[in-house]
Amino acid sequence: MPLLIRLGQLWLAVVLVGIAALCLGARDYTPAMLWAAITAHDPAEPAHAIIMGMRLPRVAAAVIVGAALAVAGVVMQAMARNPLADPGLTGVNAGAALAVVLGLSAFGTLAQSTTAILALMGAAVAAVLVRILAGGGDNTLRLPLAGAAFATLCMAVVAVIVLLTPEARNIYRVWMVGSLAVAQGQTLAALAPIALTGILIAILCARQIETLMLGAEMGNALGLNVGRVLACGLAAVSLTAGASVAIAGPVGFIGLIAPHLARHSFRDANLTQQVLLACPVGASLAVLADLAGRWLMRPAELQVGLVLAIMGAPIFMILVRRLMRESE
Amino acid sequence: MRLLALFLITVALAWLSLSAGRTWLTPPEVTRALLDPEGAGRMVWHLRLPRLAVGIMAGACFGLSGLVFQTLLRNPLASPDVIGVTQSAAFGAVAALTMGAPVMFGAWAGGLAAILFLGWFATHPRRGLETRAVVLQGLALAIFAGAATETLILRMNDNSAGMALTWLSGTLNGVAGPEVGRALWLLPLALPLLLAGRALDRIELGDDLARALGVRVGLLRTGLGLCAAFLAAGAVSLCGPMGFVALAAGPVGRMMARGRPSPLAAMLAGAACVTLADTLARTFAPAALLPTGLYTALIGAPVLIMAVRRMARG
Repeated sequence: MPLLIRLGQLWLAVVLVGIAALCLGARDYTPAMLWAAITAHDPAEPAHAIIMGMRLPRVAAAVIVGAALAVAGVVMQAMARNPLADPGLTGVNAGAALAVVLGLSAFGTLAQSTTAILALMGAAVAAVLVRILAGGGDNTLRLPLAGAAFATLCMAVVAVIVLLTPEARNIYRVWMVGSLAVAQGQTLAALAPIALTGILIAILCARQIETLMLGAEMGNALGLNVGRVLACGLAAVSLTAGASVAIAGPVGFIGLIAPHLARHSFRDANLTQQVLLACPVGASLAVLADLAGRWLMRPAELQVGLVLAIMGAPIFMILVRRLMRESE
Repeated sequence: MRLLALFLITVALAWLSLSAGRTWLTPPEVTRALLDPEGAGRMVWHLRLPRLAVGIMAGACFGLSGLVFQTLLRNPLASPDVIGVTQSAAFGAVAALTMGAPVMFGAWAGGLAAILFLGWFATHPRRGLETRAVVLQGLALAIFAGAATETLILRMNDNSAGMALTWLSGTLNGVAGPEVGRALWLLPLALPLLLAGRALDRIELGDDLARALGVRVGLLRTGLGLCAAFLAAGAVSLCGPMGFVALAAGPVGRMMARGRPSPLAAMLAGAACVTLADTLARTFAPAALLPTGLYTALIGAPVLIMAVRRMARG
């Protein structure tokens, strides 16, 4: 059972990184204090309040967002047959963000469920639009270009709305770059099930998506319902990407890097295995990025989206370089 | 013929931009103001004319640089704002601002660093420069430079951060005499590109064919690319990274020149785009004073979608 062992190792890494993220921050605590905060919780003790009330929701949010985005990346890369697909680069995150900001400006404040629904719809519409825009065939170049163009457009509209409604400006500055600082327990409880549903759908349909990507005719011959498989894939991407945008704003690059690391950690993984492996990889990436952003510049903090962009862009460039060298 | 039409449109938009604003001027009033810089024309000469001049210069630079990059990289979307040159220049400008150095040099340093890095990183040891790699790596570079700029802004106080954010969407607010002087600095850089129409035509045929026609492709590409990067960075230092101008001006200019890469048409298209956007910014919701760059984005978006569609079909 090498896959199970590998999965165990990866989840162990998530736990270790999570413990580090609970202990370190603007103020560092020892693991013993963390243990005390969990076993003998005393709300009057400030250290306990910080660990359980502020850091725990944040780490939980990072785990969910990271896993969800990683799964979105795996499914998108498989469906687009493009190793450079990612919910950030292909404009899906931007579409979800635009939908949320449109809702904010139309109705003032939004309930959690409304935010989530808007983000999901935005993500789905963006995924379909960009895919149509990019066209079929070898879209290695066209898909990210169309996505970048679409994302720029969405962000310009978002900026217009935000500049016209000053009260939205402060939320925008923190949320728009991707931040886990706003994540709270209740938000998380409402949105985590959506992300988990998306991951579950991805796990269940991964095999069919993989078969389908061998070719539509082949899929038909094998008795696949092409439309249904495509709809499942789209649902998986929009549920995971939409939920993570609703939790943390548009966070890029996890969906790009995590699938590659997952494939690297376990050779010749099929799509189901890739989805399973990508979850812990994405989760530890997100927790690590959030920790780095909080710890390196303390007491100030760098939003997780910025940390990931600064870490992820060079990785993307190296991937492109390798991809170009391989395609001799 | 079409080029003439484009020129007339640009002039008409410039005229409109002089008369539009909080107080609207009729055409005779504009003429009178232009003839009388000290008396009745003070407002036009001190506020609207510098703004118009800098907008036209910046738009022309963006347009020209967009066309050159799109032609050199053989991709209708590969403008400086897509491949990260503009964003790197903006990062350089903001960094220079925080250190108290001249903004223009910061922007130039950023743009130059971006183009040199892309040229180096996307070059294959045997096959030379790979244009596809330049475009893809430029996309990542744009995101990287944007995030780095945001990091700088986070450390500013609220007031300068607000100003920096407006500037980063591209604005002509606060443009006056000194900026016009700085804009004129870009003219010597624009000249070689303006004359490069024939060379661009040949590069378009493909490296091998161009070489057979006696074009020194590598040298030409380096020279034109550097010039175009300096132009884009210079325009950024004037009015911030205005979205979509460089991207849209290339295809529009090409359409106006019957499919040929015409530098003059691209310049005019860029200038017209910025002039129109700035007029809109000053007339629609003048109290909010939305940055001009948002309007250029809204004008440029349809062009962009067309370009992607055509690329997907072709």
